[in-house]
Amino acid sequence: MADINLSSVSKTFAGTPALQDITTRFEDGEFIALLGPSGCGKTTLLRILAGFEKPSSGQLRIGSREMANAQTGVNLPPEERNIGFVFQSYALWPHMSVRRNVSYPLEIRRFSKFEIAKHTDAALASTGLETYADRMPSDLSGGQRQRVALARCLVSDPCAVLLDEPLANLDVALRATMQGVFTDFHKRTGATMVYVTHDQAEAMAMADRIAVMDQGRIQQFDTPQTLYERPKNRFVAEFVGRGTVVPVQEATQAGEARQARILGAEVAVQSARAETRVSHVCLRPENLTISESGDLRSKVARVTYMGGKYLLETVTDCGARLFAETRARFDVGAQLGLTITTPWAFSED
Amino acid sequence: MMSAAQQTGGSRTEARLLSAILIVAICLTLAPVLRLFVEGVTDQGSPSLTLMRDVLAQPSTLSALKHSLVTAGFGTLVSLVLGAAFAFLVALTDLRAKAALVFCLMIPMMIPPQITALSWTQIMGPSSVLLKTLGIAPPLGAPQPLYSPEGIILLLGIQHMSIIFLTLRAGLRSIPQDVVEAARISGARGLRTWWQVVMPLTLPSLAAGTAITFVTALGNFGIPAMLGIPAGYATLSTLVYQKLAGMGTTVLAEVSVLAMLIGVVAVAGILLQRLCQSHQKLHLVGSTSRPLALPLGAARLPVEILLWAVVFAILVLPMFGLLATSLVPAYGVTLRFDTVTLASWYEVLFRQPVTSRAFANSFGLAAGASAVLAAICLPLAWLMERRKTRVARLFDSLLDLPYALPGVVLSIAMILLLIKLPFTEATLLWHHLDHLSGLSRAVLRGDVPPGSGKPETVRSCYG
Repeated sequence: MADINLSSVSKTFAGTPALQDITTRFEDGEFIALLGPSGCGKTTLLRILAGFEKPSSGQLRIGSREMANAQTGVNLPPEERNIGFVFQSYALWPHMSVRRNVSYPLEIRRFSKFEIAKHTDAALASTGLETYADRMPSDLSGGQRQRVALARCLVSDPCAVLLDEPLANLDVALRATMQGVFTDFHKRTGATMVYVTHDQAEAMAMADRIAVMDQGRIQQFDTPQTLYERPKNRFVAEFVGRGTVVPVQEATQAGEARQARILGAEVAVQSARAETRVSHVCLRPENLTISESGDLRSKVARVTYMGGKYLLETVTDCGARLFAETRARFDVGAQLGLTITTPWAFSED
Repeated sequence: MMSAAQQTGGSRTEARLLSAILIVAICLTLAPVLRLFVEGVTDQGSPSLTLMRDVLAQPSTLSALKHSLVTAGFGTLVSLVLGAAFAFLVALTDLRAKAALVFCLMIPMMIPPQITALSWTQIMGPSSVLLKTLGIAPPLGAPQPLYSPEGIILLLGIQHMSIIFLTLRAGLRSIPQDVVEAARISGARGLRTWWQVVMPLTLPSLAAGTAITFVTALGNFGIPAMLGIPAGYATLSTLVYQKLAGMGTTVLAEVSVLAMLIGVVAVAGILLQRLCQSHQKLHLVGSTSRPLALPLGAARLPVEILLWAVVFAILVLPMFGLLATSLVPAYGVTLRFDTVTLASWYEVLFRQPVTSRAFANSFGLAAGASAVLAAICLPLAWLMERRKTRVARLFDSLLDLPYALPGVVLSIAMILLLIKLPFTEATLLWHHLDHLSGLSRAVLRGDVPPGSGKPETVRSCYG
């Protein structure tokens, strides 16, 4: 088990930057999620950690070992990194039985027959695969295959486990179960895990910290709660959770308290202490209350039943689209008033 | 509603079209083979096995069978070694200039086998202009080393290495990179990854390529004819030719037995491959978008030099031999600045009318075959992909039959089929034998569903 250190890591593919100047640290035993839209560089970052790609510049250390350094040209190949990797496609070897798939990494490391059997049995047991040991991968369901892949990377006691959208090919029910499997796996092994996903619910549910990525950069790296409640910029505010970013028309500050005029209404806002000026606020359903006397007049444009509550998409008089939640039912076209309570404000160019 | 109605109307027409084309195709596939079979097992109209027994008991048949098996078998081995080595290196490693290498490796298949044989005889033996020019020719009277079983094996191997190369490369390309990456991250290094992960996954395509190569080598006529006949070394295909050339149509029945014998060996080869393949059902999942490129490291340059040297030896050198021979005034003269002449070129290109006639014939045959192919195969492939009827499935398995049968077998089957028709005159038919066989072979062999990776067909008009 080990921590992962990246300093100024960049990667360009044929002149196009895929990763730009990533400097960050994943602590030993942390469950990290790399979250972002497709093409944001999260998979490239993961493949650099694994050694499948070479960084164009910068340095990568895992534990005490230097894995890659673009300046000195050091780049340990994946086979020497002792890292576990779980692929989206499972990447099981179709010509080997489940048991052989799991034991193969030990076979390569020249363990004794007895040791191989012992570790393989333990890995199969911990993923609930004992009864499938003699089957071929083609006879398994998607969830079972992903468990074999997990057992395979568990067996060699890796210093970190990298997961590349491992649940993307599974159906919704199975995804929830497998999330539990991954979380248990993390708790039990205490391995440093880096999990790539574009599904924020998945990231929020499992990760200790989430790195939100866009255009080859980490936009914000925080706990799920902080990301949701205190987004640093417009991209994070809009990408994580359901939120609308609206500009601040005028901001005033009196000591600790900040006031801002938003969509014509004067409201108290929260912001990071270091922020000297704020330019936008993020309005989430939690920040909006529906009341007859609300200062923001708006019209219901769409109603979605969320089970126990309704999500309303409303359009204000000045044209902003806001999301509000309510237990009462409203019809499309209904007029209502909204009150904004202490939204999160940030500065954005 | 409207579109649904149109769809059912369309599919009814489609179904009729499909059956019509399928019946034509099945007739083209099965009828000649059945006719061949009937010819072999009848004697003057009544069923009899005496002819078959007689032909099979002849020593010439047995020795030709043995020679065919030896040359086709070892030739396939040579193709396998050359083609597989190139395919693995090109598909799996980070070699440079892969596109150029692939292009060069496809050329041997496109050159007609008799030209291959001719060009190789020009760079070897006592009268080689190239060797004489370099001053290293063996003394006059020394035997031409290629006029031997080894020569046939070598050239069959070179001629058909493209088949192995192309099928294996296609197979390698369908291996998801994830599977190889998973092996690497599990700790497997270069050769182990290749042997324990890549090899088992490519066995099906390797087996298919080997079977096709064997069948093609078995049916090859040009190379055993050019190299074997001078050495008195007959294979089944040259034996058929010698019998027909010597006796004409009177030996058709006898020849049909020989043709069946070739067919049986060929089909046995294909069946063996099917048998091996049925044990291995592999389902490969994962992205294959990025080609594999395992780093060769310091070995890259030497490997590249070696590969290009092989390409030079099997491709460029023989062509030089041919070119050198064409530039001397008379066979056996040494090529020097004062002996260079374009007389032969002038003679062939401008003086002899047969050249342009031959060119027109070849071109016409190739174009005709391509046109017929496109006309039958495009709708057929499209329809068979869209609707998997029972007839279509039956035909799918029949498709391999004409492919498994070497051209000479099919030609004789076609002659037998058409020779008794009232409106065909035997002599006219003889005249067009070449045309017909080339055409029918091209039609039947080329008729493959997309993605099944069988080699090009237009060339088989020349084959």
